[in-house]
Amino acid sequence: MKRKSLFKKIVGGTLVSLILMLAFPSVPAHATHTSIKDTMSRLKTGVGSNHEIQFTLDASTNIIEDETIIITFAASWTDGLNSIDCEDIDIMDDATQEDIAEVAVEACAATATEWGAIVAGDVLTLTAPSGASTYIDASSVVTIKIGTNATEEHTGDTQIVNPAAGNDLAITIGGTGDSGTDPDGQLAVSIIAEDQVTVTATVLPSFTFTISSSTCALGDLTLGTVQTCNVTLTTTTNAVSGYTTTVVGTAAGAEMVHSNLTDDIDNATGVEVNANSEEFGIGTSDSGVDIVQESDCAGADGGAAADAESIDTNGDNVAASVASAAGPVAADATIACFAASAAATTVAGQYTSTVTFISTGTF
Amino acid sequence: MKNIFIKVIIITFVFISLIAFWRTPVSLALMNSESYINWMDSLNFGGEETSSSTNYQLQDTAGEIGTGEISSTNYAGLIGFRQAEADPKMTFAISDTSVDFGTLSTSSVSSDSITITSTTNAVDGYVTTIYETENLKTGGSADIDDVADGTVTAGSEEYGIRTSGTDGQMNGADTAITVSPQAVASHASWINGSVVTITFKAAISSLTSAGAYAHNVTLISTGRF
Repeated sequence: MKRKSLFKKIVGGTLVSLILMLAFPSVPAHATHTSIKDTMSRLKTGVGSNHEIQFTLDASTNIIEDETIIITFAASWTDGLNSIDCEDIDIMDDATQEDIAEVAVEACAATATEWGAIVAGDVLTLTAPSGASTYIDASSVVTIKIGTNATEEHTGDTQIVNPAAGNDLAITIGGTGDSGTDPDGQLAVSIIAEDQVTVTATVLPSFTFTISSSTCALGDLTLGTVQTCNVTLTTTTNAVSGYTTTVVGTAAGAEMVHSNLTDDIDNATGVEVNANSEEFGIGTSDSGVDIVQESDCAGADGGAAADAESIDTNGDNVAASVASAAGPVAADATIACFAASAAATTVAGQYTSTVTFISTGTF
Repeated sequence: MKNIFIKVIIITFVFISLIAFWRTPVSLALMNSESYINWMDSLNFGGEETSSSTNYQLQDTAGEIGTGEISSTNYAGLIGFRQAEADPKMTFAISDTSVDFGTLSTSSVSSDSITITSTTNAVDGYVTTIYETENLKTGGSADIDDVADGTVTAGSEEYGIRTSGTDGQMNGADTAITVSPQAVASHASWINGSVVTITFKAAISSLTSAGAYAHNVTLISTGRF
């Protein structure tokens, strides 16, 4: 019996001890902000980075006149923090911008209405205005922007340069009432040798060109009509600046030549081949090129006129453009329209003309 | 003899109980003298700082009761020696800083992957974001279009990324990289070695301009303490 009683006492005592320990858990001995982070724009060592330090004030802390928020960067950051000043800093209270001093006006020192921002060593001290007031309420979300992301009164022009690569680089948030060794919040960042990934790819050039036929028969030329025939020029390319297709004759001033190699059919002198006029020329379905546009080549066949001009437009045998595109194209088709007419004095016989089409991509 | 032993046990429990009472919020932190301040002390019976093997490292404390996180509307607490002593930790690594698709084809999707690894003791974990300053482009005006339909498809000009891994934030769709940072990895509490794979994907059509394409993407990992 005695042993049972003793056992109960031991168990009871143990339970009491446990309950007491659970009922009075230890808590941090200092006020602690929460949701602390520093979103940087770059993590690479040696490059400038914006900082957006954000934290939620603890529930017992208001920031009133003359009180401070002290941000201390680890010693690996350059003393002076690359000469950032108050114009490189924004302070926001629940997304509402706080007034902050200017370099030229207040030399970044706090005034009765504006926050001060002073850097000494690796420490940035933000001081609330001296006019009596609560400037940031307890439990507020405080955001401090440092760098070119700051926009209050001035757009920031200086960033803090990242220190040597390393992990666990601490940034502490203290302020009025803290001892300095007991900051209200701490965070850490990782600075790395390279924070960027370079993505590369190659797209090979492609080019295809086809001519629907290497012959084009105009048939019998008769008075009162213009005869036409056509070929289709088709280009596919991924050239960034597209392509140009040109046409050129066999020689300067080359005309449709009779099989006797003496007579010929004259080249068109204007931009139209007309019935009863001895003329030979070419038109194109494309626009914006050297050769005149003939949009309905088939319809012109047997008609009284066709829009067409001399293949050698300047009489110098320099190729003239009949088709083009300004960028990549898939199966871009152009109709090259040949037109000819005979006059009453045109010598009977077989006439031929050889022209050359060249399509060129501009990559 | 027995009685003495029993008394010793009882006194021991009473002593423990009294210690528990005396651990007020302030008394926990302030062991100090003229030459030092100990910001935290702990009543426990064991622990190690250097336990490790090939696959883990452990710093442990044994014997504490009621440790962990507590909070309500008006307070939050991190209870226990390990919670109190930890300096903020943040490490971030990128497995490869080069992604080369090689020659793109109209008949297939090209892809390449990297891994990103974050370790932190931040109470709310971490988030890693990705952003670009310009599209994947040539030195001239040509670029490869961003994927817009959730899938990079062969024969279509599309470029994007997809993540994999528990903490990946783009696991469900091929996603365009934008100039605004977007989360690619995230974890809501402290984590040791959160690994996320980012797979870059590109495809072209017959109209994609020929040329050498490149751009840089920036990865930023931020601890949420």
